[in-house]
Amino acid sequence: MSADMARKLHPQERLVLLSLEAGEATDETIARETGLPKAAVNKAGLWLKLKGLIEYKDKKEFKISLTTEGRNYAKNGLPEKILLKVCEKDQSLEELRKKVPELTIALAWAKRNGWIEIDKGKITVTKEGGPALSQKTHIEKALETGETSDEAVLAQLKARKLVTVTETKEKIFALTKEGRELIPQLGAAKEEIGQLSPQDLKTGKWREKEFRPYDIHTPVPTAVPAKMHPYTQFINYTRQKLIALGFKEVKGPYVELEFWNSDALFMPQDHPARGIHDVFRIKNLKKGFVKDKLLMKRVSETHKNGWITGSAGWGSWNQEQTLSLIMRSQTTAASARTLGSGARYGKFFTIDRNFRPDVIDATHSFEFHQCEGIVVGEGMNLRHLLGYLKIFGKEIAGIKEVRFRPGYFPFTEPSVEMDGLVNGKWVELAGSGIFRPEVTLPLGVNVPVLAWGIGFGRLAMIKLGITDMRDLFNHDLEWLKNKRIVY
Amino acid sequence: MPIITVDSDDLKSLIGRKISDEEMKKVLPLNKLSIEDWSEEIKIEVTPDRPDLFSTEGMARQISSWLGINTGLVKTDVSKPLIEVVPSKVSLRPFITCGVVRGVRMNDSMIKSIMQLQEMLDFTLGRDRKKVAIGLHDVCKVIPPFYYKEILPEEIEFVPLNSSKRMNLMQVIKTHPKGIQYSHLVRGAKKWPVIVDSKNRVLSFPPIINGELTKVTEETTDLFIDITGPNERLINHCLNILVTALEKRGGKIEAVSLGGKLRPDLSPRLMEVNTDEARKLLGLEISNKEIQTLLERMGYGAAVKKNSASVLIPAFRADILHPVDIIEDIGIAYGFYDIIPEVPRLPTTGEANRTEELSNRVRELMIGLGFQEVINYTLTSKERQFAKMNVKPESSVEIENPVSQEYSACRRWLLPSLIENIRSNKHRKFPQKIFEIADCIIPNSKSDTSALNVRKLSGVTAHSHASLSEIISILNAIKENFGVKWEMKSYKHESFIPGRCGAIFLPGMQEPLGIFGEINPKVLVNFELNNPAAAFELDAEKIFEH
Repeated sequence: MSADMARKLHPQERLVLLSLEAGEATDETIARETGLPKAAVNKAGLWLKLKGLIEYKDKKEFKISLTTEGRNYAKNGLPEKILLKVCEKDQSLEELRKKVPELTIALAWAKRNGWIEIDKGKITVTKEGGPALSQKTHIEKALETGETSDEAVLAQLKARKLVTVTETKEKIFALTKEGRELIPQLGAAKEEIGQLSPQDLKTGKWREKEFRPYDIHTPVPTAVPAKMHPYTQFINYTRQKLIALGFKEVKGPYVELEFWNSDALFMPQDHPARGIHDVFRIKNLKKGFVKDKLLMKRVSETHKNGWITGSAGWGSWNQEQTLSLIMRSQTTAASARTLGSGARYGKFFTIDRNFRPDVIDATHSFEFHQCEGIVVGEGMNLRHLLGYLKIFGKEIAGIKEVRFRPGYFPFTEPSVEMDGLVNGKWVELAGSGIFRPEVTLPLGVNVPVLAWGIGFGRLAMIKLGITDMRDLFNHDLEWLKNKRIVY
Repeated sequence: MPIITVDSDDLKSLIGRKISDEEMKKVLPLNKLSIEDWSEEIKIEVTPDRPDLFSTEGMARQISSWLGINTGLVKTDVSKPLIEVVPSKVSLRPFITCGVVRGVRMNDSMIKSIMQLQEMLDFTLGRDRKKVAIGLHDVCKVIPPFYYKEILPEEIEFVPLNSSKRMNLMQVIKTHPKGIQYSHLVRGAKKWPVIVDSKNRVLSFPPIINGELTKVTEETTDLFIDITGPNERLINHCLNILVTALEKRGGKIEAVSLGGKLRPDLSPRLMEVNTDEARKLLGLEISNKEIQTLLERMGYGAAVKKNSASVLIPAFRADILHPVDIIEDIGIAYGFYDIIPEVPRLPTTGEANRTEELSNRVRELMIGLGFQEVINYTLTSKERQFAKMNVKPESSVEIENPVSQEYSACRRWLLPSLIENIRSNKHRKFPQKIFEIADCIIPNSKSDTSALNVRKLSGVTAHSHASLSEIISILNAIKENFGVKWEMKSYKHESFIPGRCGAIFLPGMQEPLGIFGEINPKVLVNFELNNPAAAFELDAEKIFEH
């Protein structure tokens, strides 16, 4: 038993330990002796028990309480005693009936106690009966004090329905061997500071006292902070990286024209990804409009015959379709709007929601985020595109080893896929390319536009350590409490 | 993206030199052939722009060329026509194209590959037979000339493929599995297309099914191919892909006389590519001579003079719309693994979107006030938005083809989702304080999309003592910390307890900026909540506009 342990004891622990030196005791007794509140005694007791200095023992106790009859006897005397008293003067049955309540009971118990004898209707007080009158029986004592330790007396009280008995278990605190050994080291309680009080500070009294060392291993509950949602944290993390790389954040609407979602991106109007199974259509809004009529004309000509882009075009155009409203199915729509509204130089990105008629499960959702952007500038080329992708891999995904291979997107040529080495496996990280002239020229852009998109949901899942896509929108407060901060 | 299954040994045998698994694994992805699974059979994800790679034959041709084994434009002989096909007016599918390949050596891998190619073309380029429907026939079973015409559904009877019963076209549509599957492609038209031989026997009922008569078996050596659809250019591309794939299996292509024209037409297309443009777009310092070699390694014929490459495009390349498509191929021939990434000098200043940035400031304040952030889907149901909130429906954006009623409309306020969040956290510790800041979608006739994204903020506190004064104190904190000059007035809103509800007004504004109050017990009951709750919702962007 170290002196250190003795020192680190809380004053309340110290008090409880000392009070036990004289022997085992209940919390109530200890509380009485130490002057501590019962709750404090119990708390200190628990700490001491965890330290192995005391142990708990259970003590059974019987608590008796008088019934109405019992209370009556306690006040007026037992019937057999009254009988005995009356018998001193007159033993006639007639007189007894008049003066003794519950005569049958009185006779039965007086006889059983050997105080009287009954012969042919005549009652005689025995030798024992005489002195009994001046002595208190155990029953009487029990009724008076409300307690007894004699099992036989208790049984009689119970049988006569004079008391009800409740059994209580009491916790008894007892010193362990270690506890007993520690007591000599406790010494005289020196005045120590527990909680530093404003009073102590003000008076400077703290200078004269010693600070009691606290046990840092005493268990305490974890505080619950309010936090940003983990997905918001990751979105902000990525936004900050991109802004630091010189990208400007742009936004586009969730309800979108097919024009911006697909046509301006030179996706043929009968492209499978534009079908009813891949795009949510709006039921109750009338068609939208494209403000720049010349722009729309250029896009439609490009679809029909390539316009001046040098392309063959798709050979068809449906004006009705281009103005229909849908839920945006790709954030590339925001890039198209950015170019359409005059961006001719710079770097732009967006991280936002998209919508597709997918059934929701661990890997699919009808509503999901994409992160994508464009780099617009004279002389931009395929090597530059790879350069940016590599930076994204390192800065955003934290992946050093990446590789590139040719890919396909309807709106870029050339098109590139980037894979990253994640735990020894190649995982698709980003898709990208250089916008086709059929995309840029009708939008009035005469310089190359590098376009890229990061598999954002998948990346977020890796970063947040989740395997179910639905958890990106998890709102279980316990889950949120336990989720770590993203950094 | 389509997945093609190939037999690894079969593929290797068609490449033209020995090639190890390791080399294959490296080479395939560099040719737009992404390996999905590698066991006895290889599963390869192809890109929809290269339908000529939808077969073992096509892949072998590409890889062989890329490796430099057989480079340049492949010369293909087409022998003189022996078969005539007479087209006539067919309203439903105006165009037909045909070809013959003789002397094909059928074997298991080859049949599998060609069937897969046919299906993939039907499905991808053909938009599931709508634009392209392909039929393959044993040409020895029928007697030319063949006729493409339209007839009434009951006019002719024939035995459809894999059946033993004679039936007319209407019966095929009603009873044959393929007829039922594709009936939508002919329904509504009075007359339906057929191809018959000189004895009026049915070869095909496009785009539904072939006749059993011309079924291709292991004994078949001479094939007749028909392709029908609404776009002449597209069906001819598919024909060219098919016949050149069959040629790789030792077949001899034979022309068909089709209304005076000869098909297939395998003459290459010519496109001029500016080699400076190519160098500029790819960022590669490559000479004209190198460009010529690279073009040849992608199966093109090329002659470079000065800075212009005259490129002959093989007839099976359906994807070349623009010189950039050829420039990408120069990059592919160069090898994407060998292209060195470079970060350009393009000085710009990064900038956050204002709404997003201000939303983050709001998030910080709400978190400081002890509110946990949650995020919810934009898509929800009108029932949750209005009926469960005890209010009359307001106009909201509704989805025509929702995946479920639960997600069939865009939310126009956040609070219903937050209350739903509290419901799902019923078994967790109280008090619960949550907030969300996100876009709601509000119909707006002035917007080009007839709707607007509106950034809103909502917060809920739920516990046994949740009260109006608690929410007002939160709103006061927002007001004072952002310095907004708003006024609170008593308000009536059915989602809140009458007499315990208010609205926030900016000076001079008629429409409230936001609402707040103790949630109406009717709403609490609708959401099965056991605790009282108080909440607010406001237009977040307006906070910063004042």
